[in-house]
Amino acid sequence: MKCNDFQQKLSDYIEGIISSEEQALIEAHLKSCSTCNESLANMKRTMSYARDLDNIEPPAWLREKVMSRIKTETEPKKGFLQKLFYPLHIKLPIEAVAVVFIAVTALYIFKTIQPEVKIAKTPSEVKPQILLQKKETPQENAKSDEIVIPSPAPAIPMPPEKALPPSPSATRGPLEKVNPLSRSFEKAIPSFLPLGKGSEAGFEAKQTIPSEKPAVKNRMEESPQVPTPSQKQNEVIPSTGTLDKDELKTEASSSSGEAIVSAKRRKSVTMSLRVKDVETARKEIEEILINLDGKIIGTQFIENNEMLVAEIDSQNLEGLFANLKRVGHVTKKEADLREFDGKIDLTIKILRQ
Amino acid sequence: MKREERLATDEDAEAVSLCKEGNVDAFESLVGKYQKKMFNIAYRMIGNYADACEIVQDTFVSAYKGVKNFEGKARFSTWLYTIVVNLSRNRLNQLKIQRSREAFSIDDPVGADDAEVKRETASDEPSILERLEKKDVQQKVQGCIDTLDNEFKEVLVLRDIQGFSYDEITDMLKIPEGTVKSRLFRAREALKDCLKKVMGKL
Repeated sequence: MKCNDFQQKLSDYIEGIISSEEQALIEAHLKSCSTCNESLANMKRTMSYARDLDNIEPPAWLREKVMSRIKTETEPKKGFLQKLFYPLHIKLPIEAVAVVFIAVTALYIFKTIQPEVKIAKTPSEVKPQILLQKKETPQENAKSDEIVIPSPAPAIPMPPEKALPPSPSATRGPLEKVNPLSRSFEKAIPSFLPLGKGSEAGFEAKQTIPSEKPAVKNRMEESPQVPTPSQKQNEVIPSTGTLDKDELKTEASSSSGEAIVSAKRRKSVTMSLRVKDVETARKEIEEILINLDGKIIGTQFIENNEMLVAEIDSQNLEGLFANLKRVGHVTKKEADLREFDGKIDLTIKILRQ
Repeated sequence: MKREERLATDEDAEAVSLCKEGNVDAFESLVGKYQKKMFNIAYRMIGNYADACEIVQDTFVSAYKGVKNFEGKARFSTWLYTIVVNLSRNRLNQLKIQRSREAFSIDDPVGADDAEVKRETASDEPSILERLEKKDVQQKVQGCIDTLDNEFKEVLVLRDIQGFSYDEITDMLKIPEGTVKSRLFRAREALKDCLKKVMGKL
């Protein structure tokens, strides 16, 4: 056996975990090799140093500390559960969920009941000034022209767009970018302007608006070309303006494509009614409309004349006509609608005789 | 010793089953029984009294939490020692990182905490000088153990200091017996070299 081999077996030899043959070989080698003897002695001493290391007494408090830690660290599990179910501790998540829930519900309710809320009559005086600051670009004009083409506006005595002077006063709100349709209508504004004076032609033009895009009226209100802006805005148009704004909100949120489709689909009828008492006539007309399954969208009062915007099924139009004749003198200003089927936007202007 | 035999001879089986039912007193008796051995394993591995105390506490706490999952594949004591070895190893790794961050000098005096060490074998009343000398030697030995790599330190502590069998060490460290032997050989060689350096002779 060589010294190297012995060194490898040294550990095992000391521990006595080698075979008896190996042990005999090692012992034979040790008799002749002093180096290995020394190695053996050193290793034995090293191991005895390790073995002789005193066992150290742990601190007296160790046991209590361990037990107290066990009690505090294992019991809080129950405590934690209790905390979890204790109302105050989960307040925040509940609040968060509640807030989201309320918001969603509110939005849903708002969207559901919105059409009924349209008859708002508060005048808005701030918006026109804000909108005035924004300018229309020619590109936008061109774009809106293109979009408008497919929409048939049969009842509207819409002035040709090219005839419109590109007035810097044609202002836009940010919403219009969403809804190009409304832009096209804006060009009709100048022709609507005499509205405030109660001109019949202007009225008619205006009355057609809801069928196409209610937002247009909004423009009219905002247009500074209205002869006496402050007066008109306050007295006459604001009611229209706010009404339209409500509609604008809903329709602007939908895609412009949808708006075009609805514009295509809808037909409008404008009629004026000459009566003795505007107020009673309006009530009567409302009754008639309701009886004929019509839906009143809104009413406005403009210089002693009442304007009623409603929606009615085309099948009931003739019935409506017959009924209206009993109330007063009816003037119908509408193209033939017999081939048309479905809902019709109806604008009834009640004039004092 | 085979596993089945060990299982049958696990003296703590009864206390352990009580612990599984949540009996804290039964666990406390086990703490009393094993704390010293646990503490010494931790102390020899880490070489620091305060750290060893903490490791032992952590070991018992995690043992109490995990006793429900203790399947009895090994003896309860072996299971406990496994935990203490693992936690000590983790602590050593932490300290290593800490030291490298703080540029802590490994030449700092070791075993400074030994001030609290009490002599157990006071039967033959050795002189103060002898006691001081022995204490000095023990500090040097501990200092040398501290210089070993973790894997060598573990086997040396478990085999040469605590006197566990190869079987038990195999169970605790989850390494084959051959690996235990070879690590032990290298650990002893390293300790020998270190002691030679520190003490001048063996």
